[in-house]
Amino acid sequence: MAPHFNPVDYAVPAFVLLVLIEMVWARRRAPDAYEPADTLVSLAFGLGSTVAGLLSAGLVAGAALWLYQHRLVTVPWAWWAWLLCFVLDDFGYYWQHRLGHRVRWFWASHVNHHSSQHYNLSTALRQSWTGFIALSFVFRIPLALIGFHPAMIAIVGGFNLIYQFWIHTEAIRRLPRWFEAVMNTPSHHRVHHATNPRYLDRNYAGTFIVWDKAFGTFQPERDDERIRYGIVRQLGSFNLLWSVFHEWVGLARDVRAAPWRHKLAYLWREPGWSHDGSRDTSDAIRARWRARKHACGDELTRG
Amino acid sequence: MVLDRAGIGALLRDSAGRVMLLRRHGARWAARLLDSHAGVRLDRTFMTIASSDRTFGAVTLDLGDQAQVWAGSLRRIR
Repeated sequence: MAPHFNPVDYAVPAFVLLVLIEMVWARRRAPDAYEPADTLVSLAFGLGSTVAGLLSAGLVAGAALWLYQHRLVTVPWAWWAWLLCFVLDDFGYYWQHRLGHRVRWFWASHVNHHSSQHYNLSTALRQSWTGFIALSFVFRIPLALIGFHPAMIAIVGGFNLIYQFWIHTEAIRRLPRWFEAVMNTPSHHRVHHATNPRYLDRNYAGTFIVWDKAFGTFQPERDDERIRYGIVRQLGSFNLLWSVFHEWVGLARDVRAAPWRHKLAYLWREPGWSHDGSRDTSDAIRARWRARKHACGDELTRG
Repeated sequence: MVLDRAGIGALLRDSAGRVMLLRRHGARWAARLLDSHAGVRLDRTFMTIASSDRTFGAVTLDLGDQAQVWAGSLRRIR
């Protein structure tokens, strides 16, 4: 999993250039799209996650190579194998991402990517430092057991990451219908980063939005609803270390305070779950919002 | 609801008596429900409020003639 060619290395200059171009756009068209402190935190996240990734790369590569030694078949280095690997890796990403939102152990790491209240290209660089601890790699390396070479998996994973960079923007409203129907786009991914009850835990796709449509998690963006970005309980802090570790700290506190029979549930249940029902999950927030909406609708009908 | 005169924050109370502190966070807003009056200090029209979430920080709001009323209201939070 540590190939000599890493497409992300070559994409970094383009990332920087596009962030600068978007900053110029924002200055004219959306002055509050960028907040200097927020952007600095995002950049520090990106740098830290790169270092963390390098530190854990050897172990992930070792695990993938071990699986490859026990592969079911040998997939050749053919053009179709690259395409198939990309699609299957994206499918794995969908489930990794979905569980990243629905299992608190995984969320403790992935929350970093959502903690900005802004949505711009610098937000794409806000990547976790603790992905290895959260075991996010276990969803990607099973392809090695099928027979895809670990280097191929790493390279298509890099291209997937590059694809996901440009969709973190408000500068692009909608793309052609055929593209929006199949691919993940800025519009679909804005929904994913929203805290509006309607949008919570939707659109987990990496490159292909079809996974969300197939598994019932797709929600199109609406023009009549302004998006509020971030997390349900906004951080309210630009402290980098707190931004990185706040959910791990919260998780540790909850496990420590919980009765013995509920301790493990805090690790595998969804964010917002509590043994005494004192907090709200995204499902509870959405259900309450729907109930209020219906009640308002009934009142309007009666009035 | 009461707004800070400089527009950097606000206090909001719902029908159940819960009080929320809203304050600016960069170019956006962040909020916390107040669960204690321990972090509340009043100096004439200025009210300094710290929620139990230490990392959220303390906020000083200029509430004008509403400061005394809200100070009394916040003292009822346990």
